[in-house]
Amino acid sequence: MTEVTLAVSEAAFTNLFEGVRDNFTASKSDSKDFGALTAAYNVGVRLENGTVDMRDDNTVLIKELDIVYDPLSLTLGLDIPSICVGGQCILPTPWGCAIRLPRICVFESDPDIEVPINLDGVIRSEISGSFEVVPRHESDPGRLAAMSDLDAHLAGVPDKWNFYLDPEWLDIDVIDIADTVGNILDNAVDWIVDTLFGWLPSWARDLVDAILGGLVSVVRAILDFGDDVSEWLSDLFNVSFGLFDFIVTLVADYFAKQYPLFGFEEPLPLPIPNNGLNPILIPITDVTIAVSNTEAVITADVGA
Amino acid sequence: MPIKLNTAAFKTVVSHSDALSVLCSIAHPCQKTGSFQGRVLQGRRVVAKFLLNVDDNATSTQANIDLASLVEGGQVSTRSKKMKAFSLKTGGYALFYVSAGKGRYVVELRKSNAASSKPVFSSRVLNKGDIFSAQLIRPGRYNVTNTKNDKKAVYDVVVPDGGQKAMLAATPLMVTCSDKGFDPREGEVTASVGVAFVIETPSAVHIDMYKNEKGKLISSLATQKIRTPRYVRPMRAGGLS
Repeated sequence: MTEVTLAVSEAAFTNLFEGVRDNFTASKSDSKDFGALTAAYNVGVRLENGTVDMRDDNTVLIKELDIVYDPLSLTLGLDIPSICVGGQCILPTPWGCAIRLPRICVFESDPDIEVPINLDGVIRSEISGSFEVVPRHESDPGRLAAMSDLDAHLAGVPDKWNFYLDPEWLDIDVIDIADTVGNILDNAVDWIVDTLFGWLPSWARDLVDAILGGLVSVVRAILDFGDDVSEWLSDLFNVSFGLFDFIVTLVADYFAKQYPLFGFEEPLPLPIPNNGLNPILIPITDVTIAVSNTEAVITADVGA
Repeated sequence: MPIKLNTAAFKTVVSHSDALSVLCSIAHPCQKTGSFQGRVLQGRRVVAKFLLNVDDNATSTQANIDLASLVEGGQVSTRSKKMKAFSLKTGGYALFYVSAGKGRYVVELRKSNAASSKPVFSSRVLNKGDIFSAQLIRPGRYNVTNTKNDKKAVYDVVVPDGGQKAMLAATPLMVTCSDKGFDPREGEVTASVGVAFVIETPSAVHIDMYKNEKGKLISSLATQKIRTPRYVRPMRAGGLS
């Protein structure tokens, strides 16, 4: 049995990683009902940057891999309370109220108002993780059971040894939510108030304002912004939607199972001219990879 | 994004007890037990009918009857099975009100078994024990006239300072309407909470804005009068349809 060895430098490894990274795209949409507030989002995700650090413990550390949210749109639906007047007592008695005025609604919003908010580029987050490089022998799903290795090679559906980045751990950090989000959401609140009430004459707007206790306050209360809009947004995506967990799982699955760093055919066609004859296919077995801080060394047995 | 706005409520600057419009109500005490047929009229035209059963055994001491809903629901059949029925404990109050639309309704009650008889109650003239309320929402100055004795008052409708807290604490201005006139004859009314007239003498109370919230004089009566149709189809045997 002959053994072959192939070394990959850190620079070459980084190039391979960047190819995998740039091919990653994902999208997701979801919605939640919080009672008076509904929130729905649509996000597209891709990866940028990131540093590769090969380590002596047979792992690869990837740091500062940026998650780019593009597009990221959030649609907030609000159940604006009806504005009703009346209900006062006009004939009090020692035993209670004998006549109470009916409640009459002067304003209702049905269905609820929806405000789309563009959050492209507002959230910055990055992934870091430690990966083991794992070789895996895989059959092409297009290969038929009756095919010989030669048939599969000629049909372009050969078996392969593929090398994946299998995460040992992976973490995501929300490193920044741009300050502009405060303005974006304030504008959204203003838009809601203007859309609902802006066309009213000023006296009617003052009255509605007094009945509700402040139009902007009501909308902000429904949205439950609290004091920190950035925290509100982070909680919405992180806790309520679980978006960041979803992305981590997706990235882990992508690197570990979906898209290999590199691969080669097995059996391996010898790169020699065949003069019109069938190629020579060499079986490759017992493939291993060892990572050091300078290179990744692949070893394999060649021949049957 | 559809918004349901009670347009009439924002537009109205006229509230008349003998032509009930949006945000107006009349509370009428029902002291006698019996079954009554109610009629809602617009001018002379009957636009809705209903039944009111006043009974010692009824539990409700206040029957809220929305004239606008009755008219919108086409409640004009004379067949009692099709008429909307309300029940009220003897001594309780029937509260006639208008939730939406221009209105200008008159409401009458007659004994059910004598439909052609004289009404036992007609909102054309309110009498002792009745209460007329107007939840005026547009700020401004309003003239008030009892057209039965030509007594007058003036009230200012305001949105109070103090926001929601002040609004929640506000109560209607209670006004006595007697043969001596209105008491008080001047006052401040909280917008949307309004004013209630306790009737002690035959009355038809007219409330008309004459200065809007900016102090500008307006001629409300001219713009708010309803046209009475020149022709109204006679009532068929078996009722309107």
